[in-house]
Amino acid sequence: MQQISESERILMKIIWKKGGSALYSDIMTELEKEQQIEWKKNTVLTLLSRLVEKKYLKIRKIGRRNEYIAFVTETEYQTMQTHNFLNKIYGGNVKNLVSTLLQQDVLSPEELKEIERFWKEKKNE
Amino acid sequence: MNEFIKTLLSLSFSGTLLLLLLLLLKSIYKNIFSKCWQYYIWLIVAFRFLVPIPTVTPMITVTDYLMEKTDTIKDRSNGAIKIKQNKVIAEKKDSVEERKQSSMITKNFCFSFLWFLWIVFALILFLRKVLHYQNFVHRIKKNSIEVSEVKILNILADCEEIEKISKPVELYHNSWIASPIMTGFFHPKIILSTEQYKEEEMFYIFLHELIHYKRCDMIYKWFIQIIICIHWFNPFIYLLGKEINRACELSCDEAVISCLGDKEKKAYGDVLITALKVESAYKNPDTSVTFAESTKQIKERLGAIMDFKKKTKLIKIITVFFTIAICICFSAIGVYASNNNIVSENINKTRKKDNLENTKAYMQSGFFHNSYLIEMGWNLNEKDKKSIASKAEITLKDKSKMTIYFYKETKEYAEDKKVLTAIKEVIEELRDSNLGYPKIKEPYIYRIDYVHSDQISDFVKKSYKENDIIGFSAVFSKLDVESQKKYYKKAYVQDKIDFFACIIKNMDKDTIVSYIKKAIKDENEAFFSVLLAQLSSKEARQLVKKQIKYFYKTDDFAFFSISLKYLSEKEKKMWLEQADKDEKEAFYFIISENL
Repeated sequence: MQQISESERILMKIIWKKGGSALYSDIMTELEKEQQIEWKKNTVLTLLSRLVEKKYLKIRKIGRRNEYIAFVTETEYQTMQTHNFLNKIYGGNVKNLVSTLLQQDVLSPEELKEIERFWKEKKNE
Repeated sequence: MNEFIKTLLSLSFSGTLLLLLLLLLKSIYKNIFSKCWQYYIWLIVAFRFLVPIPTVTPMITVTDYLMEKTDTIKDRSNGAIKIKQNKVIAEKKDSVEERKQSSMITKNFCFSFLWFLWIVFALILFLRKVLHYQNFVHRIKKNSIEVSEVKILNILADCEEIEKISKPVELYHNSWIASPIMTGFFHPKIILSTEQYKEEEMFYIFLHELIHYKRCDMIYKWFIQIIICIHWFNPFIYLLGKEINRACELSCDEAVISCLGDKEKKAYGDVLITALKVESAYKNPDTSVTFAESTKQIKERLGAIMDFKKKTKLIKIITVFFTIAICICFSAIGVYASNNNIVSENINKTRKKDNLENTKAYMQSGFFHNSYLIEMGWNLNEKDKKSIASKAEITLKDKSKMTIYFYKETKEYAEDKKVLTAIKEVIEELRDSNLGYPKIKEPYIYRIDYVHSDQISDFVKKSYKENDIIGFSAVFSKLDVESQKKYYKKAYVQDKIDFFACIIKNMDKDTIVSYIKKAIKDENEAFFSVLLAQLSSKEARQLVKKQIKYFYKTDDFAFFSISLKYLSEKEKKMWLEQADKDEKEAFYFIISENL
């Protein structure tokens, strides 16, 4: 899957928030709520069509309006990005990532214990 | 093939004329007419290169004038004469036709070769252009990165709104290109260079490119490229391409700044300069629309921006008139088209006048009366009536009046009573004779010669030598019989069938028959046919019946077919059955055609 830009990600987030599908008008309404930057109509259309091309979205026509359905769930996306990140930055080595998280106090010992427990449960399934 | 090559060359020539005309006038209209007009006016030139409509209005075009000259030169060298006199039509002999045919074959071969050469080059050139463009687009695509900053996309969206473009255009940036370009017919995209543009700069860039897109400049440019490929052999056509490219950019600039104020115009000029950078290896001004390409052009464009003035109504009106003038030139230059009525190959050689059309409608004959040789024509068309030099009025014996028209060469005779009397008597004789002359209403006198009775034989000799068939045949009847016989022989032996045909109306029956026999022996179908036509149908039939069996046996199609016309339907059917029985297909076909 291709990478998507920051602005495209914002749009995807909106669609995921709406339960995986949203009308164009819904998306516009959400964007208007965000007051930092203005989103012009054609800008949104361009970004949406890019997402469709990259196979992140599917279009369904309801009458004259377009409905955008997410092809990729948020979890799938996060997984994909995590893998990319892992490979790129840590050469695929999870241990190094975790040690960084710990060393940099990104991950607390309590959180680590939780993860270990979670992992044990997973293995026993 | 011939026609195609001729038309192509003529189109090239006409187009070049119009192109040069417009270029010459450029210095006049450059600063007066709008750049937009200067861009689209070349469409008329493009069509002059492409469309072989001879002329929209009934005028004589430059091409007609030039072609007529070359055609009459051709006529003289071929020696083609078609003269209609009374009911007899003279025909050329077969061997000359054969010679003509072999030269036709080599001519056809040359033309086919030229056509082949032309189309190969044209196709290669066109393919090269297409491939080059595809290659360019492909390489650009590979290295292009989508522009994802919302701010920039918003500027583009604003411009699209201003230009009323509904479907959004894609936006990329690319490190390989020097200045922003726009590519794609169906999926248009603007590709920026990786320069850091200010917001204002991007605004102008987008406007410029979108205007290119909206006006379908790409299509216009490709259209011109096709014309260049068609006329690849014409060096001037490349001028056309250059001019149009230049005009394209200038008119686009004009469209952008037409709603800008002075300060903004300056800003636009600044952007142009910024966009002009080190020339990349990927410039392609012919087939894609760019923002800024060469330094020279930039200077011109900057100048145009600052000098921009909204065109006054007066100028707009002048523009319209000028456009109409160019359209008239389009028409006036014309183009070669086969079956062009004005350039007909049957121009009567003995006339020195220009623009004679359609020998059918034009009747002309020579008459000898009262020692005057009168060459007269009637039922002329309007064009020739204008060269009248003088006129005179005569009263015929039925008390009706008639105006006689004289040309430059004969105007002195308009006052000559004797000449007028002779003309009057000739006309009266013609009217009374029922020889099938149409009612003469407006006679035109081309020539008057006074030939005294002692001078007749000298005159006949002279006209024979000088190929003056009209004079010859008119005076011939006044010769003594012995001299006439000499001329029959002379004309026959020298193969002058046109002269022969004119004078055989003076022959007696026995002479005709003896010449017919001669013609059969010498295998001279043309003479045979012409002589046979002089006999009465009964006499002709008798003669033919005797000879036709011989023609059939010796497989002489030409003679057979000529003879066939004089048989009755019953006799023809008999021959048809005979041919069928003998399985002589060719004869069968000839006979069935004649039934």
